[in-house]
Amino acid sequence: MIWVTWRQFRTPALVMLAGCAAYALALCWLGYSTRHAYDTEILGCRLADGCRLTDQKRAFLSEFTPPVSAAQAVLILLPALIGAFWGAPLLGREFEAGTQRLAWTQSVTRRRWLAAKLLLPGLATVLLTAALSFLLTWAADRFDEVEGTRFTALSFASRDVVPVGYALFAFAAGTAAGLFLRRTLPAMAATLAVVAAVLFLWPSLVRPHLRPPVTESVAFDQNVRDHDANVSFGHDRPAFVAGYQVPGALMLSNVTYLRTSSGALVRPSTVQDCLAKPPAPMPGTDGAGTVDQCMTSKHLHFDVTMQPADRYWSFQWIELGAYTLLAALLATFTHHRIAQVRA
Amino acid sequence: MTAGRLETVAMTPVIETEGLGMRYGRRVALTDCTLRVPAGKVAGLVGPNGAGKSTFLSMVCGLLAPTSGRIAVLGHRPGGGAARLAEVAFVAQDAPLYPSMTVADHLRFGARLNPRWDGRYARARIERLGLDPAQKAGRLSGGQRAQLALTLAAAKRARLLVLDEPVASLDPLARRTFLEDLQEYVAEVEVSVVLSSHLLGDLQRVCDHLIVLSAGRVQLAGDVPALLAGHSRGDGERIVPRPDGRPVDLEDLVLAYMAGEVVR
Repeated sequence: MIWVTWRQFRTPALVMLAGCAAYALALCWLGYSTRHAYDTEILGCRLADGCRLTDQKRAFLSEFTPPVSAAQAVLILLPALIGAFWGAPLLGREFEAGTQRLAWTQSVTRRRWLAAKLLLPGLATVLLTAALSFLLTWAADRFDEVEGTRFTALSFASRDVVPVGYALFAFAAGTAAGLFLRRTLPAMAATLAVVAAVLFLWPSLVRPHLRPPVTESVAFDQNVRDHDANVSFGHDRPAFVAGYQVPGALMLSNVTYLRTSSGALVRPSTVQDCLAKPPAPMPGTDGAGTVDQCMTSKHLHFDVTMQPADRYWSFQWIELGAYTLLAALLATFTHHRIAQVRA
Repeated sequence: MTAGRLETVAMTPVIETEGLGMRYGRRVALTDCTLRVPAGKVAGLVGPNGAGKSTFLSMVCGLLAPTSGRIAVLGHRPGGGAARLAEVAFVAQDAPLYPSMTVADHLRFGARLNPRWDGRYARARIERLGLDPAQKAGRLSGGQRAQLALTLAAAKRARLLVLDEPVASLDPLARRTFLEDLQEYVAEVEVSVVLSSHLLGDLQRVCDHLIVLSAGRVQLAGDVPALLAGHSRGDGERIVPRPDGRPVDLEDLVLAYMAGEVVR
């Protein structure tokens, strides 16, 4: 039975492997060139006098953002491709050619036949995505270090262990689609649509709630601007802070109100005197007398909710578990249904 | 083969159905089908297109579960477990094969999936047919495909061989060769056969039992000599007599039943 599944899986396996070999080579190139640039531009900058590290980092990021984004996009696409090209034809092609009537009248029950058919591509799915995901994690590690976060939607989904879960889910979804639609192309299209929808909606709808978020109170001082935050004052509404980023964390609150030490919302009238001050420090001063310093003296704060950076690995494992479970449920369902469908 | 073995085989009918029915949603494909095919026969299932022949044969092989009634094949519910599957071999309509697999791959497929596989027979038959083992099934002619499919089914060494419209897509020469091969096989091995066609002419030479199916119902079923004898006696069932006075033959009988001309 294993020979039979290998004989039928051979061609799609080799086609996929050929494509992935080219991708793996590109990742090796990315890994080496980011390392080289990191050593010369970032490490070299720390040793050299008069070198501005933030500028060097910005240059490094802008140089490697396009190739890293492209590599991420391919790895995020990989589960969908596995689902469409390995999962969907597994049963879809049998029904299309009528060969299920040949296979199901041999001396092997449908369920055993399906189990054997799932085994080899399932194993290949795990090995292939694990290998490529770890290769990308290696290739992008200098980039991730400079960028300072691995929790963004695209980088989280393309690093470490979660791609394996996504790919197993996509493979199981493709197999199920083949059983229910009984044609290869519609099953491929349905697999792509379902996998894309789940992976697209997951980061905004599900991931933030996988663990109870942490709420933290942040004092409003000069440091706030270093965290990509913008403060907005309006005439008729309370002041709010937007885009505050805790390093490496998954931020759940993009916009949050500024509050006084008593917890009251901040109206423009509260800080009227500060708004009149000059926005930038005068040359040669330490920033005294600016808007920011004036605001700091008012002891304002705001609350942010987030999943902190140190939860990265727990989130990786939780998502791997969730998607593997989803894949197992789909496979069990397909395995159960196949004994009852019309041949 | 001993007489005792023959008797036990003969006692269990290969197919026994009672009120068997199949509907696809609202469409009724087969209704109230009660019949009994004795062991050791070559049974022909004749009926116009859409009469329910494929549905019936799929139920015999366990590919379809009936929506009503009961069916037993070799004394058991068809398709229930590997042991039951090993007892019935099937060549589906249009002889589906894996287009990208070679002839040799198909034999290996049969060998891996069937415990009683007769590899020597399969290879000998492929050689006799002149099929190239390295040829992909997708590049075979209709006749070659049918022959390869028959080889797979025959080498399985099942107790019942089921063939759904095996000669429908073949030219007259391939048709004759196929049926001769089938007759030869049946003569060599102890096996019961059920095969279907919409043309009686295909089956007339090889069948000794006949089931006429029309509009989802069994119109006539029985051993061929008994059927002919019964009708020439005119015991309760009469056919519109032939104008030229020639004795009623199988074709007249079947056509009359298909056309609904029989008065019960």
